[in-house]
Amino acid sequence: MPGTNLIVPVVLWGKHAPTHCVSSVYLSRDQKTLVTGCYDGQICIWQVNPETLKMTPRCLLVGHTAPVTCLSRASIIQDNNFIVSSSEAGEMCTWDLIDGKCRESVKLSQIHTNIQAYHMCNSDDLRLFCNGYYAEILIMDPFSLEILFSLSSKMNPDWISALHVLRPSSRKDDVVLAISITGTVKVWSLLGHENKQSEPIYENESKQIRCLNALSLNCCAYNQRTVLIVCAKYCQIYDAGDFSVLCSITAPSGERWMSGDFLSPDRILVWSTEGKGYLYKLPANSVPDHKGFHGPTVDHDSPVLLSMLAHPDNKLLSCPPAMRYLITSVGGKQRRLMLRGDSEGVVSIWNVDEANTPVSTFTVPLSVGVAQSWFSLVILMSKMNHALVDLFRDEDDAISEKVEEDRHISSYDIAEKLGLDHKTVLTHLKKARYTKKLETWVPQELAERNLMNRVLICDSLLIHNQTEPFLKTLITDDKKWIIYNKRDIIAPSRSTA
Amino acid sequence: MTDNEKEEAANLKEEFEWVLREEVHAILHQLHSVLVECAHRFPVPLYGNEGQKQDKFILTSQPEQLKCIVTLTGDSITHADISFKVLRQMHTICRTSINQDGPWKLQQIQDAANHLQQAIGYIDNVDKHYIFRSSDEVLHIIQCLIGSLQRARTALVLPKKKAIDELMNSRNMKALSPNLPEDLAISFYIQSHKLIFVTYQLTSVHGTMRIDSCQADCAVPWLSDVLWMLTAASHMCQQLKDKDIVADENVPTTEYMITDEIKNEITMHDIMKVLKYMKIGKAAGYDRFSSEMLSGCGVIVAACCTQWQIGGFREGVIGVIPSL
Repeated sequence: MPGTNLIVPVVLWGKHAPTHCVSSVYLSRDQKTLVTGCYDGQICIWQVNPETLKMTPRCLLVGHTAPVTCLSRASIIQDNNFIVSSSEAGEMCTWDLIDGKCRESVKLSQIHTNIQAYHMCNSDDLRLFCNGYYAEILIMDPFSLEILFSLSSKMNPDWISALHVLRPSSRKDDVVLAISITGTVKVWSLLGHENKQSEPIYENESKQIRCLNALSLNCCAYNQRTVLIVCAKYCQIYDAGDFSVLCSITAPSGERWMSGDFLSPDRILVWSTEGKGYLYKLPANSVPDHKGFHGPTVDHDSPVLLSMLAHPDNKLLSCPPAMRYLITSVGGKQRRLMLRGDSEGVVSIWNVDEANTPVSTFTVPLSVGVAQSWFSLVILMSKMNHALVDLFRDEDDAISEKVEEDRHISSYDIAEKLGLDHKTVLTHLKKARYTKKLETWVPQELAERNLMNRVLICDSLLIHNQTEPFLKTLITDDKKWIIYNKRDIIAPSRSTA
Repeated sequence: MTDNEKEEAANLKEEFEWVLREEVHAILHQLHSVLVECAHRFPVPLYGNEGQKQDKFILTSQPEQLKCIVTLTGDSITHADISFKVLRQMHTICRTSINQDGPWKLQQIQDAANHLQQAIGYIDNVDKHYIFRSSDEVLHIIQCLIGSLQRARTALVLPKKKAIDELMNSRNMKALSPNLPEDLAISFYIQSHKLIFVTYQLTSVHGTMRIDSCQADCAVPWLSDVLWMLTAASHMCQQLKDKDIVADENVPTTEYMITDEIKNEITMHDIMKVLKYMKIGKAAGYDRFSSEMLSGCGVIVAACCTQWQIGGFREGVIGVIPSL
């Protein structure tokens, strides 16, 4: 928005770290930048060491007025270090991660609950596939933040609960697989030339399944033949061909599922509202290329819990943490990580591969909190402040000492003795509130105590006069006092005591 | 801290725990019943309610410019007979209709219903026997509830504005039979408890596009019920939030308050009195001067006389005694 007035925002920080109840988390592919969004609308950028995965909060981006629900990559181009954030008030911003500047911001009437960044078949860069509290799927440009086109439904149009965009191995088009909140699965096939003029774009197929309020939908990236749909109470594996249920896993008691993904054709990772990750091995009938695929559920072959990724201290969280699973590549090596940002502002990273062995049940994460880092920052800053103050104090002390020694000293002498400029000495003395009165340096300002004393003395004198009229005696004894009157000339007159 | 203070602190802590344990669940239960009742007022299938109610409305505007008979089924207008006068040509009446095959979907109703269902979902997720461990947990749930209820209300009260060409190309317009000519458009939307029907006529005046609109509305009874219940539920949530915050704060702050009172003896009353007198420059009391001094003076005697008082001080300036 162009304007002539430049408003510079100023933020004041105190000793205590700001609360950072994490609502969304994102890690860049090169493992160097971590971004967390919180329920107050602030976004924290962390610097991550790609080798050791040590995280340090770097800066806080302020701007959103509502909880930050989605964070997504904005570009696949190597040098473009941008992310897109979306809040629960419909505000969307594109941020430059290097200097923290907001490159573009827009306020939409549609509120997103999920954004997937995807590289479409004939576009240069990424496009954002968004779904939320509206009945369409919006495809947006990450840099201009404008809606390029939207996908609508013909059958049972309703809010889209979860979606997944993928490119089937045998085809040239992009397929959007989505499920509505009432459980209607829809498939759109995009050829790449869609735009606003080609609207309305309806689904190619749709099917009603018994799955209400799905939280996430993921197609297996390894074979694209099975789909994982996670709901709050259970997560299910479906056959991508006919969308029939192959197996189902119920959430542990007291917990609800949040989301999950495939680790391999026969292993899945699902995480719960308690911030724990569960690794399951799928039964034979849910694994394609297996003899018993799509067969009926066999009694003795049910999903097996291989391991659990959790925090060893298991502290209480006041709200479900934000979690994410991603595959990163650093120095040619691929790493599979699970991220968790919780209500205390602590971010933890698990290396999923290390937990794959059935021996370990609890994998200790690497976690760093906003509060911890804040405290160490404050200590550093106060150390710096003290160092600066000490620099100035040395001069002041020397001058005050000299004056105390000899109150009749002249400023020139002080300057000579200390080797400072005369003007510097005067400035410092003024600051210390010394003035020269009758050749003597006195602290100019009467301290509170001095004032009080003077008043006390006057008061006691007045009271004394009541008990013993000494003033009377004073005047009659002398019989001589001078009155200055503007109108008359000075003349002695008798007192009328 | 004396025994009294310790007791007070302990009482407040117990009160806070009671709020977390019992009061929150009781209020959530109340909220649940209000919201389920609200859900049942919706004409759409929502939370066990199979409703596909049908209602007929007649919308006319004075003076007889437009007339529309509408059948609202669920969240769409399944049947409508529309006729309105075209402004440019005085005697032409444009007629069109909506039928079963191409209903006019009122997205606002679906949005409000979905937000309401989300709000009920938050309460359902809390197990009846769950013991809350901190006020933050309760606050988080209340914040989510308030957010959903606000969005549900806003969906009904504030219609989403569409640009005229977006409206022209929309699915709803294209489903009209017969299709309207290029320079005419109609729209149905909900605003608060009313169903509003608007006609737009585009005319090109000296090169600029001018849009004339004409509207008619009628009240929808279940909408006002729903809005009232949403407001009541939001109010209940806000009250619970306040209770939770106050109860949580009370526990540590009482300790501070009690120690403060012991230390300070200056009351607010004293301070206000002093400030009042200082402002008007008057002496706050008698200033003691002996008559000898006064009678002998032909001099301006201006002195700052201060008097001490227990716990505070007053300052006054004596006036001028003119000489004669």
